[in-house]
Amino acid sequence: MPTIWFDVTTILAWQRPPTGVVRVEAEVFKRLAASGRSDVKFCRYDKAARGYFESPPSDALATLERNSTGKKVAAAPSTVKRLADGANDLLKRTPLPVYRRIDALQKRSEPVLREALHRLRETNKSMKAMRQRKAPTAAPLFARGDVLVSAGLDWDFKDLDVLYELKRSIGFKVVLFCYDLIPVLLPHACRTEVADVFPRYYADVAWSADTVLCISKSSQRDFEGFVREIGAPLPKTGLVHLGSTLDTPPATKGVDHLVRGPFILFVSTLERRKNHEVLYRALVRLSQQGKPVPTLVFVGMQGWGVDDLMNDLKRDPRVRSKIVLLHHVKDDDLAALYRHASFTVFPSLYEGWGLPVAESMAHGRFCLSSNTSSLPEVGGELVEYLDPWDVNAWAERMAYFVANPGEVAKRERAIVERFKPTPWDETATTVLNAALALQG
Amino acid sequence: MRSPVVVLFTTYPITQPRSGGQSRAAALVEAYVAGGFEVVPIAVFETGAFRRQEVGPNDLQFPLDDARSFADGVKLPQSNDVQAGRFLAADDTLFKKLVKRLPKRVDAFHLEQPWLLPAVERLRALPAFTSSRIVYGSQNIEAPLRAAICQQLGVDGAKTIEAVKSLETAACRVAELTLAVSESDEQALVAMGGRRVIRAANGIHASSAVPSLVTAWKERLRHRRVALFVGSAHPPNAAGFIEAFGEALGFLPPDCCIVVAGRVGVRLQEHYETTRYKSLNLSRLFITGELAQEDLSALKALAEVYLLPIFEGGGSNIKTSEAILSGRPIIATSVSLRGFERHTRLPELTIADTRAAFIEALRAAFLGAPRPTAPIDADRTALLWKNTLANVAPALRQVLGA
Repeated sequence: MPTIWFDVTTILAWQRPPTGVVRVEAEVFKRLAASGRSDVKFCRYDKAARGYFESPPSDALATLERNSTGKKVAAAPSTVKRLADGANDLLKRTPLPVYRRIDALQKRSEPVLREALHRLRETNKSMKAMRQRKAPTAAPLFARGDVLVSAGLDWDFKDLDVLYELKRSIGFKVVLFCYDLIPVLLPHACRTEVADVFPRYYADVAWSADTVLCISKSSQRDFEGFVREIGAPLPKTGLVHLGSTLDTPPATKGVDHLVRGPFILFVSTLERRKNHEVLYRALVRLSQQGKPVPTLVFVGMQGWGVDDLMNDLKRDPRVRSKIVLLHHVKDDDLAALYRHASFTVFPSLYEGWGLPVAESMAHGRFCLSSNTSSLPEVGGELVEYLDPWDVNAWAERMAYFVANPGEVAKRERAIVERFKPTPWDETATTVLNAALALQG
Repeated sequence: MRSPVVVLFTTYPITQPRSGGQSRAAALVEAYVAGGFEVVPIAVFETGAFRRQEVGPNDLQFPLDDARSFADGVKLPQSNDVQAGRFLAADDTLFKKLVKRLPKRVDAFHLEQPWLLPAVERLRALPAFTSSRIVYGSQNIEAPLRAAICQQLGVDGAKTIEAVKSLETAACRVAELTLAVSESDEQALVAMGGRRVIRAANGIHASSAVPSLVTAWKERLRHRRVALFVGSAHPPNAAGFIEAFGEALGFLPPDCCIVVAGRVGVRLQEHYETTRYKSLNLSRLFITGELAQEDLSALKALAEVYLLPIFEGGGSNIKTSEAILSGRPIIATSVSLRGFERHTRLPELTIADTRAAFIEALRAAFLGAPRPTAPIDADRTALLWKNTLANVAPALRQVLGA
């Protein structure tokens, strides 16, 4: 039976708890690994060898466990044996005195050392492959009729020209993801080195994929428009909704250690595209008009392009005390912040989907969101939308909802009644179905 | 018996031909020699325009900033070649140097392009050269081509165009033999007053690739499939490429690329560096810069498709000859096939006169299996210089009555 190969390269390469794209790959992987389907296997891409290799699910599961707990985890027995065999192979080619020392160490060691040796062996293999051939590895892991699915950080970890050549020579099918075209459409809102990569990446996606799963209609439109513009062939596109169920326990603790009094919550990395600027200006506007200035809590790490804004937030006496910056917030604290927030805001200039809006509703919180890109798809009629550049509108609506908690409560009741978060099972099923439709 | 002597004038050295014009002039020397002539090539060009090793023993250099080469004290845009003829005729020191380089008896002055006509006319006023004949080797109908270049560069070229037109008309009238590269040019040159106009089409030298270089280039190109575009820094070359393929090269599959060889690459690199989809565009281009002949031969051997995106200009194109002789698939504009009318029905030729047609043809070529090379028949070998210029020496002998 043709195989469905799910690519776990990103999971294996990631060193922190999975978020964003990494989490998507992880959540889908976990469900496929647990599905018990004999036609589903897992693979990884090796950039140095320019080729794909099979990866037992135990490797990715161990990596995910290690990353989520921060603890070193013994790999599953089969993997340990494989790693040990690999290390022994390597040792056999090592000078005798070195061999004796490493062998003694290995016998006393934890699986950590074994894994390190395994990695050394893999690196050795990769280096050898690099020396031997610059052309793509054509080791036929995939067969005609198979389907390769990749949902990860492919612009970093893959060479799509290799994928294209393998696909052309073997005849398997490919499912890829489109998260967003922000670096293509708004290059000025991204780091230059990031923005530069994506036009080529998405052109290669168009050439390599049979199906592209887009995470919103907005991203689907953007992808299709770009592909038409550059003259690449348009693959079939489909929609996949990312899971938005909460994986944290309901909040039980308070937030007094973080913030005092009522507040509006904005959860997002601090970067230019997320448009914290409009909220800062809105508070300044309210202050200048002599109106009550609400407290804003920004939760997120500082990212790119906001140095000047950060300076303003810390030094502007008109609003300095009204904007609280929280970094490295724990999951239970975040849940508590959602629970105690008056409502949330999300003035982003552009999104591929807009998970914070869905999370706000999953927490039962009303959200004031910008009206751009995919955001109206996320919130539907349960969210109020504003022009992200309209400072007056943000000032006026934030002041309105702060002054009218009854209005907020009414909207929260609607959210509780009508918002249905997407379970990750549904996301995984959509991905699997897209692959099954191509299985030869 | 004394061999008749031809002095061949150009505005570029021809010791190491790289551009089309240089190749043609060098081939003319060979054709004259093969026809029993003695040839003295002399090039006149602005100081520093060429590398020292390229400069021939008789070549002369002139300063571009000397007002004697200007028109009414004004330096005209895009007119270095026009200035060459003016300065040589006006500057006694350089003119004397020229005279010293000439044999005592010259049967014919061959003007390859009309630029040095003022100096040749001054030479013919000297008693030694009164009876020397003039051959005008036209490579293009120059005035409209110059107009197009000025327009592309956004400069007011009215006076330059007027000067060019006047020179080429005068060359037609004064020459006793005029060489045209294509049928349409032949008609235009007759209309300008050319008396004995013969066809001497552009051609090429047969080349063969060194296998080890072909392998090396294959590695360098990471085994990608290759379409080849060769061009000089002549502005219409880059403009034609951009006209044919536009600002986004995503129509090219990831395992394919366009190799850009020659100095046109500098202009295309500059252009595509500033396009919105720079990373995509540069991933689909492989810009080599100027190449040694053997490297170019290796790339020609690797090329699955030759590209001739030439949308303007008269004359005929040496690159077209090379493409046809190769037997490889060609995607070409009608303009690039001017002078090659007998080859327009070749099965491997796709004529594309619009961007959509060019892109579609190239994409189709890359999506299909590589096509075999067509057999090199007599129709193709007719494109070799030795055949295209075979009538030049006999025609001049007739003029000379030798």
